[in-house]
Amino acid sequence: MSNYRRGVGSYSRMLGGGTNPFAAYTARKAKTKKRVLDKYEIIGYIAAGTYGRVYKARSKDPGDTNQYAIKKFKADKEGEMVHYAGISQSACREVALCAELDNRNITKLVETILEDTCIYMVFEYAEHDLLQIIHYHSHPERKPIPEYTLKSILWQLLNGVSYLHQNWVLHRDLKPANTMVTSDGVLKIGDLGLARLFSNPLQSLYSGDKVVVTIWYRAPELLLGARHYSPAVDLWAVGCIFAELLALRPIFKGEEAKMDNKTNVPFQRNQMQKIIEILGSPQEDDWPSLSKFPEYESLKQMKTFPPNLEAWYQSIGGTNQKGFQLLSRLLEYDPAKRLTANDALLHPYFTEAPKVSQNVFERQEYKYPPRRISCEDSDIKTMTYQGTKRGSQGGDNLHPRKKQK
Amino acid sequence: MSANYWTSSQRLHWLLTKETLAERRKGLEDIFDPGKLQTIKALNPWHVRVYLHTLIHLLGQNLSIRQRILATAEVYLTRFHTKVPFGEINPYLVVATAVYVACKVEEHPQHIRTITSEARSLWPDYISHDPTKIAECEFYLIEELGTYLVIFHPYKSLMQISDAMARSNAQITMAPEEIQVTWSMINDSYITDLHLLNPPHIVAMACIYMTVVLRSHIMRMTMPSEAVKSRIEAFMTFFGESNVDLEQTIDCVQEMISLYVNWDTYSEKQCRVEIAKVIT
Repeated sequence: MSNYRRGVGSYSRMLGGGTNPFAAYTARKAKTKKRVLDKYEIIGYIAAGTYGRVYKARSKDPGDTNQYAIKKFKADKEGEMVHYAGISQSACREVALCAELDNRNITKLVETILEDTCIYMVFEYAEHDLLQIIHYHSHPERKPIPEYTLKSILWQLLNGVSYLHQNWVLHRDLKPANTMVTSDGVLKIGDLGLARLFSNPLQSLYSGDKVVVTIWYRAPELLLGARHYSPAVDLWAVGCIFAELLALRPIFKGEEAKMDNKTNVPFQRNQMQKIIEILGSPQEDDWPSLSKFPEYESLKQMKTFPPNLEAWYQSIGGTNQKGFQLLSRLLEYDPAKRLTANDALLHPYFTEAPKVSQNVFERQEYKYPPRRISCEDSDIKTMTYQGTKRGSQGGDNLHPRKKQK
Repeated sequence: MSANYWTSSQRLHWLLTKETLAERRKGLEDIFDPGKLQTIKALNPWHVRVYLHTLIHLLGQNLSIRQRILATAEVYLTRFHTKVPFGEINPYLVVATAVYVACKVEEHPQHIRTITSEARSLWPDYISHDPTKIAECEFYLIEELGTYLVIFHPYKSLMQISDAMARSNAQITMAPEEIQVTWSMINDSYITDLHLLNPPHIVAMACIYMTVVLRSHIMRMTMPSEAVKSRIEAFMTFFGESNVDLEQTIDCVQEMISLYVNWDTYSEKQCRVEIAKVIT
């Protein structure tokens, strides 16, 4: 081309004139670009959250009979204009980490498609999740989850957490809604939007995200304002999930104190209260670093309770002693004493009969209903999100439960 | 993955052979018209790489960004240019975008407006006020990288290898100045293709070799020359027994030497003018 203007100043004027610096590049790429709807057919809409929406899809390749869950991250600004605003930290983490992970008990990322200011993460589809399974067992009448099912679920959950921790990934948002189960009975940990690497962090974990983990599953060290925390926060959440599978309701169902502004994180007194009522007030003898936590003074002002977990376990019908031991080692106050994922996998609870199965549905007769799919709003390309208001309101999960973060 | 280079996307998807890399680059030449291609080919590719390196470091300094993040940004840039030829997109914009994405992935996020205004204050002729340009470029960058963003660097290997050297029969303790020199060489290694062609520990070993063997004069200030000589011999024994690929390491050393030879003839001002001709 002969019309290149020479010199530096002319380019500057071109910028001012709104020249598209990507014109040559995008024109070249347009010829070969595979778009999300060229590859996938949307079956319906699964859920919405603050990040965007999740759709159920199948491949347009006739040789591929698998189903997929496509997570669409919306662009930051909505409106008529196609607008690039920078990918959110959460989407960036999930894209980067999921591309590295490969384990039977972690939701598999098939591909990530970037298209027209939106990110589409294509995951393998899972028909069930623990929230739905717990709901099925508690409605309309209570029917406990069989022990062999429960044990296999917990083992596979720990196996996935162990893989994450071996790879220096903290999940930081484990809860029943984020724990999927495929129709083949394989548990899949999902939603790594809060996950991050903890090897060699350039700054403390706290300074990145002041609040992590949905409140009912939030570990006591986080409630007490820990600046540096460890993989043990995930094991606390596993303990809470274990208890919820047994009781069919959350063990520590606190009320979240709202942030008064963006900088002050309030002490979650009510949540701490729920924990103390069951586990008893934490003692410095058991948890030597207790007095060093920023919220120690707030804790001291609270009414004290004696340890009560065993009575709780009996009250919900728990009889397996090894199960109780494992639960109490997961719900250990001191994160340094809490079981690690690897140690938990070796706990005697898993070695005694009934044996752990790689298919959590083995030997059981319950037929869990398939995931509810809405066929309205299944247009993945729409730019507006009226749907976010009536799905799970602002929730980062696939269920109409109140958002707890 | 993250703990393990051997199962990482860096090894599984972004470790290239010299042949593949050369083919990819050749394939990208077709997209330019002959006039522009000629202008681009007239540039010394080493000088262009040094220039981009200085751009990244300049922006990094102004934003007080840590070295590891800049190293990640440089790997992004090198990978990107195996898919999108230098000169197709305004390189100043690509540099600012690589730094922006690296900050996020390394958990040190910077606001897009901060990056935009900092980059604009450095390069007002090439960066507009509009942050959506970096945001759009981010999409293209991540897409061309195949969404693989987690990067392993030789810095950790440097510390591991120097520990192993001290503990081995060779008992070589690297002096703080030596660690510093090696560290700086690793910083320079991002100008080359070494991170596309080698695992991080090979690059680390190559830089240690250069420091201990080729720059042994560092130790001559405090050690008799006989001791330095036997130290080099002990290092060569350690290297030979370390199972680190000898040929590959020496290849890296040669690449680094080529870099330094070409760097001697580099003029930033001249390079800036020549690059301006390509992108205007």
